[in-house]
Amino acid sequence: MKTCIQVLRIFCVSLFLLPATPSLASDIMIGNAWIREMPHGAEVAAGYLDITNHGAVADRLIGAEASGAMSAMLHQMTTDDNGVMRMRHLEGIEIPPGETMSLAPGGYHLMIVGVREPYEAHSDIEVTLIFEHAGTITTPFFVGHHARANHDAAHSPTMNHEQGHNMEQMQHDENHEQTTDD
Amino acid sequence: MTDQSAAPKLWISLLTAAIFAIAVFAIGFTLYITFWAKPELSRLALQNQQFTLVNHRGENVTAEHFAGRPSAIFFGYTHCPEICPTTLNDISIVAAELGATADDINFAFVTIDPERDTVELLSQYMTSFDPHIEGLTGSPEEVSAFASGLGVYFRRTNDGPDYDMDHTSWIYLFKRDGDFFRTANLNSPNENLTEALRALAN
Repeated sequence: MKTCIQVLRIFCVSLFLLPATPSLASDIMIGNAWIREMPHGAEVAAGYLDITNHGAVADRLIGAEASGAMSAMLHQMTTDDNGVMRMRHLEGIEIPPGETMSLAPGGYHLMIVGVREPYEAHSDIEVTLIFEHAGTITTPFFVGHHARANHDAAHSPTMNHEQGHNMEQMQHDENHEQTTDD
Repeated sequence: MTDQSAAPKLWISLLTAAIFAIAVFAIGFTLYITFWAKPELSRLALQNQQFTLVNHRGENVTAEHFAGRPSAIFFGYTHCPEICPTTLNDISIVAAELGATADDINFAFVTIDPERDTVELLSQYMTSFDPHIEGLTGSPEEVSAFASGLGVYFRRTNDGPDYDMDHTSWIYLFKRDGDFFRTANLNSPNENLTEALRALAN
């Protein structure tokens, strides 16, 4: 019985220690995550976000999965002097330590393909981001023509309905700890 | 003594030769501009394009369809996640800004991915944008004929099912008589498509 309690105690303590083990997951912060509103009939969508690496080593975004879609890929769009737009698939996007990588219109984006039911405007879509070191981070992406206004204003003193929504969203977000560390 | 007088003579003849060369070049250049480059530009005119496409309402569209009104034509595809919906949104804003003038302008979105962009799909897709914009598709040959006639580049990126299309992202502007006016680049901060189209419609 005593050993049983002992084992249970060790088990419980180790559970508490688990998040304390040096995990790089807490070093990655996601901001301004949004998906461009889809035209009717479209099966693809573009996702954008800012990724900040607060860690001491570089990390790499190596993949993503979006709910309601077949797959999500990392893409880079370029436009040359002749106005030719080119799209290229990337194996990964590196986020150097202490830096923020922006996946923004005109550059990098998440190419979300095979969207079964078009994403509803102003809704939030769960997207799981896969990092080489930080593992997976699931975060909501706002569907609109740009990032949600005041998306990053959860710490600001001005209270508005957007913020209220954000707070609620964060409580649902298991990555709350790692996304609000700074 | 003879050496001294020969040097200036040589210079004079060299100078004459240079002036002659410049004159020949200038005349040649003017001739090129007038008789060769101009036809090159007229080759871009809408009335000189040979194609039969289908609009998103299922009606046949040839170059004649654009006659008598200025045109703004954009090439893209519906599986394009960024530049095509953005450009079509921008054109929708321009059409709204133009108000009644927009009724006097042809706005067209030509797919360079006709295999996936059927009339049915385009008829859905176009409802997301200003109703002045007409979606055009057709056989790969007809789409190719129109695109290459205007010098529009497009290429499928891979053979898989989820391919992308690289393509020219400029908007082609044409005058009321169908003559090519210029290309518009919405990424340029100096571009004012609303004003350009208003001027063409006047």
